[in-house]
Amino acid sequence: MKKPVSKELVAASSRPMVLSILTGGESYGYQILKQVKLLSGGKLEWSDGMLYPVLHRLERDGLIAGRWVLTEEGRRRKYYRLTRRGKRQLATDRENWRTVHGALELSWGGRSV
Amino acid sequence: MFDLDAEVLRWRERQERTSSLSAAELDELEDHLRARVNLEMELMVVPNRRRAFALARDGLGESTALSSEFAKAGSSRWKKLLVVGWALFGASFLLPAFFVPDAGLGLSRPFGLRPYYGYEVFLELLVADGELGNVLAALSPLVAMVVTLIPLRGRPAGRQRWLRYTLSVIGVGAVALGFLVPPVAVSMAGEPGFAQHLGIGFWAWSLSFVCAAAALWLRDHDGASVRAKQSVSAE
Repeated sequence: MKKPVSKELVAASSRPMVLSILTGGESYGYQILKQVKLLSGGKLEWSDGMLYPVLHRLERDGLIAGRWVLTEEGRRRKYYRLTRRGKRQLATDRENWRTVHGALELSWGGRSV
Repeated sequence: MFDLDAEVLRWRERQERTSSLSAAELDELEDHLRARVNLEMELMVVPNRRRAFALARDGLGESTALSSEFAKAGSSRWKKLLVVGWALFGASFLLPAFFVPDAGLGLSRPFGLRPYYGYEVFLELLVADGELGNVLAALSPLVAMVVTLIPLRGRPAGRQRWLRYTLSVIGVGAVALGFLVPPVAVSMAGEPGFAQHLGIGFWAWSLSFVCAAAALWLRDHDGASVRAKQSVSAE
């Protein structure tokens, strides 16, 4: 069984991960968390408590915007959406991650490590 | 019989007592707990709601860890406002609280006023005549402000409603007093026209309590007044 991805890498990839998920439309905390698990096949271990500070930091930086919505059960739920600034940031992040990925691929010369 | 609402309420009350999370942050975490419990039950991963709730609660982590994670995300509005309050409070000691007739200037400069700095007022109340009332007047606002440092540092502090009220009474009372009470006329050596004027330090001191009270109010209500739109959540 493969080891889970390191905490440092999880933290570094948290921003592009959340921004990417939100390109699919508005979402809320727990749904985003489920998406992360699904996309990574469970290899990216995000603790439940880690997600919300990340969302709040992205909101503070203007990359995502939150709004409170009343659910059918009459409870408040905070939905997040990607802002224009967030889209620009995601484009930059995507480029950076592709550069890193490409450089690593080249350095490994196609060999399996 | 396991009561999810009661357990969530108990969890929330504990967070309110032992963390520095705002009402809005707790609302979001509460929603998370409920969503996870629902999912665990739907997937039938756990035998009952009690176990599902325990899993969800443990997944979020301890209140101190949660507080520090949220603190890493940056200052919230209430913290910034509290810092402004403290800056005003600190500055008020170094700024002129009053301008008083200067006896030393005497008749040669009959309208001479000398600044009476905040720290001078504080020290005079504290040590000059040693009356209990004056000592309390000097120390009570200071103690009230110092207590606000507890939530600012992310330590458990409860809701501290009493502190909010105390700060509001001091702040609003002082501001009202400053506006309502006219300058006190003082005559010296038969020369009319002297007046004790309030200095910028007095206003800074008064407003520091208003800011601190508002910050604590915001901490308890942040986001709670956000207008919620009726919509069907897309699960």
